[in-house]
Amino acid sequence: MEILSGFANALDPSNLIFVLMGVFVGICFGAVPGLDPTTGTALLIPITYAFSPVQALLFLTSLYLGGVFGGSITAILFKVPGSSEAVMTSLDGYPMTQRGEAGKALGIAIMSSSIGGTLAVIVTIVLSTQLAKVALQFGPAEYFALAVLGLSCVSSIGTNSQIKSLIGACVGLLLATVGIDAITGVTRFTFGSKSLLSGIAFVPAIIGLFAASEVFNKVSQKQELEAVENVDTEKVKTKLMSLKEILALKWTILRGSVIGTWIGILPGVGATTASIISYTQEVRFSKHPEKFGTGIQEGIAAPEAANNAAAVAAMIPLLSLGIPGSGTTAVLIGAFLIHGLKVGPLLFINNSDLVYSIFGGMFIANFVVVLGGLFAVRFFVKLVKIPYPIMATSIMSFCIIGSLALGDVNGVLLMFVFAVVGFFMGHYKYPTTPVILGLVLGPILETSLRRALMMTEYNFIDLLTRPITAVLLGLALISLLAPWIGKLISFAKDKTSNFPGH
Amino acid sequence: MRGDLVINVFLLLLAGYFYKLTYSFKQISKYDVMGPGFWPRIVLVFLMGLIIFAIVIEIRKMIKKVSQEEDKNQKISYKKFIFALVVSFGYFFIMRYVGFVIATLVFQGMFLFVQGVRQVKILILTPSVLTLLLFILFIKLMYLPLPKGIGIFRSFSLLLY
Repeated sequence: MEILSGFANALDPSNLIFVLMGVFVGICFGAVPGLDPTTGTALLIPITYAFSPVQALLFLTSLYLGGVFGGSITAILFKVPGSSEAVMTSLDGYPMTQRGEAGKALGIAIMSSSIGGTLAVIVTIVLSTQLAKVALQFGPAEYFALAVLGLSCVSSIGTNSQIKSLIGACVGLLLATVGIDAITGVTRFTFGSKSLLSGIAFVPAIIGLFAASEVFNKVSQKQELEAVENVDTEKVKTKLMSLKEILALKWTILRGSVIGTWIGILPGVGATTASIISYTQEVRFSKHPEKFGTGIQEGIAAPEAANNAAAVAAMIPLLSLGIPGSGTTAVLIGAFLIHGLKVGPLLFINNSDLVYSIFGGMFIANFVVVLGGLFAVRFFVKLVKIPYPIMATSIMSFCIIGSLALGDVNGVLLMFVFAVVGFFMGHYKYPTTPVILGLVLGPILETSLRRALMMTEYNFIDLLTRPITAVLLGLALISLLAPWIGKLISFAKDKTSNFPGH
Repeated sequence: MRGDLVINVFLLLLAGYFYKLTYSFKQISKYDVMGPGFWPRIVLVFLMGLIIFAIVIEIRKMIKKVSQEEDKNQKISYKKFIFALVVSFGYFFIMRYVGFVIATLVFQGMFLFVQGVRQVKILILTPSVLTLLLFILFIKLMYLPLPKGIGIFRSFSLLLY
């Protein structure tokens, strides 16, 4: 019954308007190259301070879902993915546009995104409720192992260099130790600053790392950003799929949704990976793989169903375990924090209204995406034509005022520090998401490990022999070593094939 | 490649300094085994190990003279970066003296200029519209107590909010 009350809550006009606004703003962030749902979420967290917790989280989760879809508009019309999640969509979407079938391609993207997202919401409702019940039985040792598993997945985030991701995660873990130690009450790395006693302020840090640093990076590029190709968008009209067309693509959409949901649940792996894997799997399953890349419907339906499903499913570990499933959900923690909420299983007990309203909101948001795609595509396309200097100026103003709005002068200073750090990280190709994951997971890792060791009288072996802990740590080890094992296997294969006689 | 090496060496020195700092944390006898420095030291040792590994990889690349094609799109103008940073920081700094509205108008004009915008129409219209939107959002809708400035600027701000 709680779920029905959640739906009713999300459908209440005072909340529904935030779902509509969230999807609309999200599609804008997704559609404009250079902006993405993560930047949008980080940038707009400060304005949600004025909303109620339900309104704030409905707005931001809808923004996230809208943003994941939004990238596909420019991917299909201009072959310029508005966000990384839509990279695979452009492979078959743009050839369809070239054939004069842009409206149909957009229709497939909208319907697949909506169906994929809706199926994932159903899984999320069922799974996160059960997972939260299990998580309530977890002790410090299990939480430590869970956080290690969450962190071990960072090696797959945003860069080809696993070492750089791990360095970023360690920097995040170190930053999480700033302030008063939760167990001994001793101050660490505060350098005499009172504002650092409570630790690194999370929201200014994410605004600096994800939004301001991106502006500095783009503004300081020697080459000006290329303008999007001038396609006659006045003629573009979205054509929704008929029931017959949906049924023809049912297995593609279903496979995409399952792959997306599974990948979304894995901590640290996001919607971009889901769309890539879904596309490659669809090529494998297809009877005519050679047609992929020439503008076929399956090439749009598979990645679009997967990326929206992954975006929704990333909420499962966030809500039920307190472990973010993607970069954007790590940023979303900021929204919970400014409203005095703590993500994790206790949220289902203390704030069940809120949790079920989020589920209801996500369900509705997937339908709003259809409306947005159907009626406002031309508007979103016009946004792409706004020159980047104007975008950059608006974003930077938002970053500074937003950080100031959330706290004091120190919040803005911290935002600048993280913006400069993020700028250099971007320049030297260090991904920023692992830093935020480290910052989020650091306190869980540290306090859980220390408490678990105190309970076992500092016997680390005792801690490892707990079944759930052992399984989770084993999975973490596999996840950490998988890329290296893969490289070793391919290296060995190369050696064998070069060996005389082969 | 050389830049990566410099960054890694800098990070290593910084990590070493932080490691040294962990020994200056106040010790509490009850937590002798796992005091406040226990966890930061684990993280720092792991971090230093990773950085050393990254340095070895970079040195090996340099010895092998692995050619790396520079991505033209990634070429950065530090001059532009510093200008953008100074203008943004200046905005935050002068806001308390001239108030939110005037500081925002001036900042946005300058930030557009730093990005190479020279059309007077854009330099005037964009800040006017954006400042108005931010004013409505942050002051009229969210009631945020943004700086009003001092002296004559305060009097001007008080006319607006």
